[in-house]
Amino acid sequence: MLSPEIFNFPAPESLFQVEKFEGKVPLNNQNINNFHYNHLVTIIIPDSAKLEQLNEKVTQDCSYYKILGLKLEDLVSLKFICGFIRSGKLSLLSIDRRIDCDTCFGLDPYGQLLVTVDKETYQSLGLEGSISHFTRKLKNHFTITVDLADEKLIKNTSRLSKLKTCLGRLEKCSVIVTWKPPNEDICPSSIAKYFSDLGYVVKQCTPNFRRHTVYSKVPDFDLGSIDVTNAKEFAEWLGFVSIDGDFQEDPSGYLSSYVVPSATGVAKKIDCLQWRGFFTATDIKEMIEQIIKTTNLANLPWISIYIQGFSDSPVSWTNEEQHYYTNGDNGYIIIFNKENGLFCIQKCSRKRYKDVNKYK
Amino acid sequence: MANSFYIDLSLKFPDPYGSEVSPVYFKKNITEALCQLFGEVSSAVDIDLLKFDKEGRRGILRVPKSHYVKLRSSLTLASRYEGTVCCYIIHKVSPFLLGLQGDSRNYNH
Repeated sequence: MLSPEIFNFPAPESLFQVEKFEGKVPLNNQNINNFHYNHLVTIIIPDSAKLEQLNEKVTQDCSYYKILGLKLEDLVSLKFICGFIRSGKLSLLSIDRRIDCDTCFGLDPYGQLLVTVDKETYQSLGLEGSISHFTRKLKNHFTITVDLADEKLIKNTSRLSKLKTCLGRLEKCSVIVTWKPPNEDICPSSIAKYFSDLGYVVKQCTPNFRRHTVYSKVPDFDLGSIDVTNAKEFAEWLGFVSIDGDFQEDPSGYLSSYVVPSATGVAKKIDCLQWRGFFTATDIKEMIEQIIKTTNLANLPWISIYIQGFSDSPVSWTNEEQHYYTNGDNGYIIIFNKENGLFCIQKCSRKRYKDVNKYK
Repeated sequence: MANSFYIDLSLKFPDPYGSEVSPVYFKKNITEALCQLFGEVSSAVDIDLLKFDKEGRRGILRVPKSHYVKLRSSLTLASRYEGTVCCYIIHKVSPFLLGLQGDSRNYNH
């Protein structure tokens, strides 16, 4: 029997945008600069021989620290604010938390402490915040932003002490943290010593590296004239390489009908290098520079770099709130060669702020 | 397929050393689950098995966006594999295949 159409719910919407550029990769691009909490970096390079030392070069300054059971009130001490937040660039993010049901927080390099809490926690905290943009009807999620780099906050001891008391009501949470000192004489591990002296268990983490090689025909798209549909197909093929999918065509077509889009010529060697950990926007820029230095762009048709954010960070780009009840996949791909390239931006939801300037 | 969803899923049996599953039977079982719940028209949808790991009985599916919700609900309700009790575990879903290579939610720092 053929079923009548009684069940037709739409799939969740997401957003895929393409931005083109000419010449070198614009490292000051807002997509890179404003994306502070990066979890995964994947580089896909066709037919390149100079990849042996890339792992060491790319991740030489990418270690970070995990602090177990951090009390949030310890982030608002005068010593911490002056020593780490106002001096150097500090990035901190809560882990092992789900944005949909737990309290999540992050501290960006500009000293903004961003906390997302549920309604009950918000009412018990005593801190001023606002209803989350995406739950305005239900009013069950709230966001609190505190500018810890604010000069007025440091001078106002009573406000600082009240802030400390309020944040002390939140339960302990493990965090990952990285700190770039203001000058080279100071060791980045000072942040680990600071928390260790406070009695916390601190663990040094380094990015997890994985590499694999596949043999596949390569899509032959011209990056200068590529349109959104072709860019999507290219991104899908990159995804196929990254998951180490089965490129052998199924003659029966039963298992898979996937074919490499616009493929010409014979199968080539494609290298896929992947790092997972915690990377700041500065780390990402340094990684891109290292990749460009190490590989010879003149001999390569293109290089692709995919960057994926944390699913449970309180914000995605700039101060745009993270979405609820999605997979949280925010990220971007940079595909470039010596002449031009493109940014493909993937956002996990199509919901956007109506008044963008209000939230900047 | 420009508008697709990608599902990373695995097939589980009560006995961890249970039946051996081939990619063809894995896909057949998924199509049958869709057919059982939504009829023959829905089961004719192009579902591609992009990758399959025999040992872990884990695979990555590509499904048109228009049928993602139907497939997901069929997988939730699927309970039999060749007469044996089973269930599907969805590890991650994304409209972006690159997004399936890692999930910060399961990463141990």
